[in-house]
Amino acid sequence: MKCEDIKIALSEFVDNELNFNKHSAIKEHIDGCEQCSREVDNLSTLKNQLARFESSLSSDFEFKLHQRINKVNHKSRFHKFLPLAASIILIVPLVHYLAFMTAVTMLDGSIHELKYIGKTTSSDDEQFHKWTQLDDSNKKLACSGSAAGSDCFVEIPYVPGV
Amino acid sequence: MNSVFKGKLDSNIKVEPFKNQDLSKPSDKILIDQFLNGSRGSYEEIVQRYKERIFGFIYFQVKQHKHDAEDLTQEVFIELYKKAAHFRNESKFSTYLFSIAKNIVLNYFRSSSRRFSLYKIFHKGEEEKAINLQEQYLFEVDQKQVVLALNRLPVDERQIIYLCDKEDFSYLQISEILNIKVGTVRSRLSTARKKVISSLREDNHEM
Repeated sequence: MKCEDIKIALSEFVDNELNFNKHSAIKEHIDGCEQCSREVDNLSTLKNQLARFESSLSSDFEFKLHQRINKVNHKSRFHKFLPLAASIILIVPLVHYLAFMTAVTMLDGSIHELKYIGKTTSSDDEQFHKWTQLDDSNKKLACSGSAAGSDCFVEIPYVPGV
Repeated sequence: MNSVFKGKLDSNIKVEPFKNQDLSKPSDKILIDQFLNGSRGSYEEIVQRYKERIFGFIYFQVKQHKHDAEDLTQEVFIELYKKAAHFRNESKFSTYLFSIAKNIVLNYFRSSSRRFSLYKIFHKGEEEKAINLQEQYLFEVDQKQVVLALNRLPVDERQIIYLCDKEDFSYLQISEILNIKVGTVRSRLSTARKKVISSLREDNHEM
């Protein structure tokens, strides 16, 4: 074998990545070739120098890692509830809007907000009468009837933005 | 052609990348399974096993900038914490973990090349001084020269040399970690070594 053919495979030879036959052929050549032998020495020395390369972590490495993992956990918990939070943020105003807008009605040409205050029951006569004696002259009581189970609302003049 | 190394080859030095592995202890796969079932202790055991090796790999890639290397090493283990379920038993766990480290290092270089860095401006040309002689090279001046020569290589060549020479991974394992063909490992490794030896020859004026 020529040196040029050998040199291509010297790296693999040093790394022990060649099959037995090829390894033996190169070994035989190296034993009789000073130039290739020196090249193998260089490669081996380079390999050994790097094998001895040392590095050491700081003593607080694991403490810092622990802190960062806790942050990751905190974030992942937040992300888990993010869709729920987003749903609430979107749904609550929607529900409020629907509930609020349905309770606004037109009375005597002006807008009145109807605030639901409850149903009358058979034993609520006293309560019912209390509701009818509202002090605020702007508020009126609107009930579907005085019988038990009637829905009662307070009419409040609606002022947008209040 | 003379040898670029002054000292004799020390044949007694053997690379023992798995010397910390004890057969009486649970395998990496078992620890990962336990971690996925909620055992934080198993995760910590994995960190103990690999933290120095992963740090060494990254430290070497980022040219011995310790702070960055530690930060990136933490990112590797956070990534493992988040994506341990992605590990399939098709490859060795170490191969999987080193491939995470490789990606994190590449992202680091991509983002740092885009980032405006005052540090780079003020420390231009002083990169080689970043190596702490007292910490690293008490015993062997030649090793400093080797590391400086390796630092001049592109990151993909530095990675391949480190994985082969320090970690003693096979060409096949390196191809899995770096996601390249075995033939590419072979040629890139050979090219990288030639460059280093040539660089050392120039440093030593032994053409």
